[in-house]
Amino acid sequence: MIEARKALVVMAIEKTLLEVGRPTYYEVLAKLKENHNCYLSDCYENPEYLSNVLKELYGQSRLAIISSIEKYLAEMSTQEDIANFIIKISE
Amino acid sequence: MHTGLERVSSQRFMLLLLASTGVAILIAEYIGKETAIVFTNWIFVPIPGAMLVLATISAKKHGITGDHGKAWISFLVFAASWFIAEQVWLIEELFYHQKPFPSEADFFYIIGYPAYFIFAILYMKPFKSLITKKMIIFASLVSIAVLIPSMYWTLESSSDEDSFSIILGAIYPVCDSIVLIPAVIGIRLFFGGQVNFLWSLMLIGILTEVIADTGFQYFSLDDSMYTGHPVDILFLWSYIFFAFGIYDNIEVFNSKMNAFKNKEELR
Repeated sequence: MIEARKALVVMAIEKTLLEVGRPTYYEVLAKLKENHNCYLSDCYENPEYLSNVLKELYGQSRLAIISSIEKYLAEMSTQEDIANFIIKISE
Repeated sequence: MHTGLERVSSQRFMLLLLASTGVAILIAEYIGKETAIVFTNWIFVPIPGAMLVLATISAKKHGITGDHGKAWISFLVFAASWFIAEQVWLIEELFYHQKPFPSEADFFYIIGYPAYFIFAILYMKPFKSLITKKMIIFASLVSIAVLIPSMYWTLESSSDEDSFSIILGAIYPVCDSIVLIPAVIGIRLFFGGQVNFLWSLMLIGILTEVIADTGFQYFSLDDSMYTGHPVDILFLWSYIFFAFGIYDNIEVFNSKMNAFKNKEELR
């Protein structure tokens, strides 16, 4: 079940980033690897990594991207770990 | 990888290019009006051409996916239309020996503005939830503050020109002030992020264009405006600012992917 939720979070992040643009998506993947030695799927446990990378690229405007990710996950936000993910990534 | 050091080195190159193009036009003008006309016309081939090449690279890199992909296609249309305008100007003046203002070149300059505006809107679309009314009002006030003196000098100095030239001359400051609004918002929106450098240079580029357009109209009054006039340095500089903004943006999104052979592994 946790794997399914993880996949859902990854899908929400991917969809949001690809809506911005393909280079944004790949740059985020690469920065995650370089700065935090992690993959997109690891952001489920460490949402702050994604938040840091987005901040590096877009400054405070990362909040708009985070808000889009949250929208995709809205239906699942009653699940405790998804809710925690949303809280952590918004910090 | 686009390090701070690389950015500093690219900024130094930009400053060098700004200084050398400015000095080159002044030297050409010092030699004589004819030299200035020929030199300045030809320098408007490689500089806007470089902006067009960089815009093409950026559009190709982004593809048609996502809002930024569409934004860069729109920027490419802007870069292409201004490049064509510069070449029409050159042909009119050097080959047909006609007065290049007003001319067909103006059509291409003017259609570039909506393309640039669409670029800015599409670039900011994913971040629209953060654009507040306050930001729009502030940007509009900046734009109006720039437009008023520019329009005053444009209309004031155009009294001896025919009405078509006056209207055409007035269109430019209005268009400049419209495209200034998203540039001001962009600076505020992306403050602290790597993409902010693109927006800083877009803003400086547009402000330079506003001063250049105003100066162009002002010196057209007594027919003292000609290709190679120091005002042309500002037109050239705006292309340099745009080009370096695009270059930096390409580098920001180019920095690390080459380091990984299999991009899919990063998921």
